[in-house]
Amino acid sequence: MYALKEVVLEITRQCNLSCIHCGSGCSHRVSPGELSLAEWKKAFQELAAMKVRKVVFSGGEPTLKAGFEKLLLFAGELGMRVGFISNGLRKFSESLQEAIRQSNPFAVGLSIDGLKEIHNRVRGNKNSWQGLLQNISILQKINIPICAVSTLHKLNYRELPRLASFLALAEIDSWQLQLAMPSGRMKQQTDLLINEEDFKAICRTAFSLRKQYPKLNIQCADCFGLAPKDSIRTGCWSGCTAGIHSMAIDAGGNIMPCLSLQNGQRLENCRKRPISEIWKNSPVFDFNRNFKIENAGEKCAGCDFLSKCRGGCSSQSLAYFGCFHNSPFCFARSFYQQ
Amino acid sequence: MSNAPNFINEDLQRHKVKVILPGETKEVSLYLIMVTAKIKKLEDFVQTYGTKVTTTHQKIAKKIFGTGETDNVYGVFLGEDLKMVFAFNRDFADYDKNKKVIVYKDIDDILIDKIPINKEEFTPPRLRPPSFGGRGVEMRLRYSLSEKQK
Repeated sequence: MYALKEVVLEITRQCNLSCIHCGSGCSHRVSPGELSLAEWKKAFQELAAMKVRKVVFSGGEPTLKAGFEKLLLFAGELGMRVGFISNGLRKFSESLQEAIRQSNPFAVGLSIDGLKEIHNRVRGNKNSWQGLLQNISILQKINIPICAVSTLHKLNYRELPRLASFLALAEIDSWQLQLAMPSGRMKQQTDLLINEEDFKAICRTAFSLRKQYPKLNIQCADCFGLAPKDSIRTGCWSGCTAGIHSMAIDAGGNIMPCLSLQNGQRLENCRKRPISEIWKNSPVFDFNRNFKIENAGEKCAGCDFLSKCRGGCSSQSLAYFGCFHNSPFCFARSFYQQ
Repeated sequence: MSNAPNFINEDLQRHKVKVILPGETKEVSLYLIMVTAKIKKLEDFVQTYGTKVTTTHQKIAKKIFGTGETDNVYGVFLGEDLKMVFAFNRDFADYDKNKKVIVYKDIDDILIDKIPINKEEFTPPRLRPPSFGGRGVEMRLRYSLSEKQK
C-alpha cells in the first residue's frame, strides 16, 4: 500500500497570463466543469482522512478561483500543510493576505522567469514584473516564506547568475529550477527547448550558485534527474514520486499521478469515486508502482541507478518521447556516463 | 573687453535650457548646472521614486547603494534669481534636450543594472555511487514547491 503524502491541486484552469512555456495551456476563462468550492472541500476532507500532509494549490492562477481564500483556510483547518503557486500578477487582496496569514503556508511559490525584461516577455505582460515585486513585498511583510519558481529554456537560462543575485538581495527563501518541456503551449515553441549542451551549462550554473548563495536554498526539480547528494538539490533524490507518495487533482476533479502528466489517459474522477479507492486501485499509477528495469527507454537503459530513479521525471519523459522511464536529461548521465 | 562678471554671465547663458518640469505643462527657461555632492543615494532613490518603491525595492537598493553618503552628480535647474527650482540625481534621471523634459530611468532597471555577479568555476562533484542513494528526500515535482531551508 502506498501512502499518499502530497497532492497538487489544479484549483482552476483560469489564468490571467499566457506564458510561452505553460504546460497546461490554461486560458483566460473558467473551463467548463470545474469543481465547485463544495466539491473541493469534500475532496479535502477525503485527503485529510487519508492522512495527506501537504496540499499545493496550483492552476491556472489559483488566486483567481472564486473563494480561494476559503479553500486555503479549510485545508489548513483540516490539519494539512498548505502552499500555493501564483504568477504574482495581481496584487494579493487584503482578504487573501488575511487568509495567507491564518493558513500559514509552508511556502508561497512565485513564478519568476528572469529579470524584468525576460520575465515580462515570457509572461506576455509588461506589468508582470511589477506585480511580482509588489507581492514579494506583501508576503515578506507578513513573514511568509517565498519560493521562486523558474522554468528554464533558451530565452532565460543564461540569466541565472544575475537572477540568483537579485533573488538573494531580495532575501527570497528558496528557489526551484525546472526545465520547460514540450507540453501545453510549449509544444508550439520547441525551438526554445534546451539541448544537452544547454542542460550541462544549467547544471554547472546551478551547482555553482548553490555554493555561492547557500541561503537561497536552490533546488533543481525532478527533471534534472539523478545527481550526487547535495550537488544540485539538498539530500539524495529517489526518483519521481508520482503515484508513489504524490498525485494531482485537476480542475475538473480528474485524478492523475502529476499535473504535468495530462496525456489523455482515461482518468478517474473524484466526483464519481472516493479518492482513497482511486489512489489504491487506479491503473494510472501503475507505470511507477510496477516499474521494472526492462521498462526503461533507450536513454536510461543500462544505467546502474535505474532501480533507484526509475528513469527520471515521468512527465518530462512522456512529453519528449511519449513513454515513461526515458529521461531526456540527467545530471548523472551528462557528467559521468558520457 | 572681457571681465569676470561678463565671463560668468556668458558662461551662465550657455547653461540656459527650456524644460517642462515634472508635474507642469508649461515650458520654462532655466539654467541647468551639474553639481557634485556627498549625499545618501538610498534617500535620493526613495525620494525620486516615491510610491513606486516597494519594500522589496528598498531592501535591494539598501544593499546596492549602502546607507552612507557617496558622491552623487545632480542636475540642478536655477531660475533667473539663481535660486534652485528643481534638482535630480543623474543616476536616476537625465535632461532630454530634444524633448525638453527630465527623463527618469525605470526603477527596476536602476537596480537590475547594478546587480553584482559572482563568477565561480564549476567543479563536478565527485562521483560516489552510494551518494546517489540513501533515504529519499521530499519531492520537487513541477507544480510542487520547495520549502524554506531549516
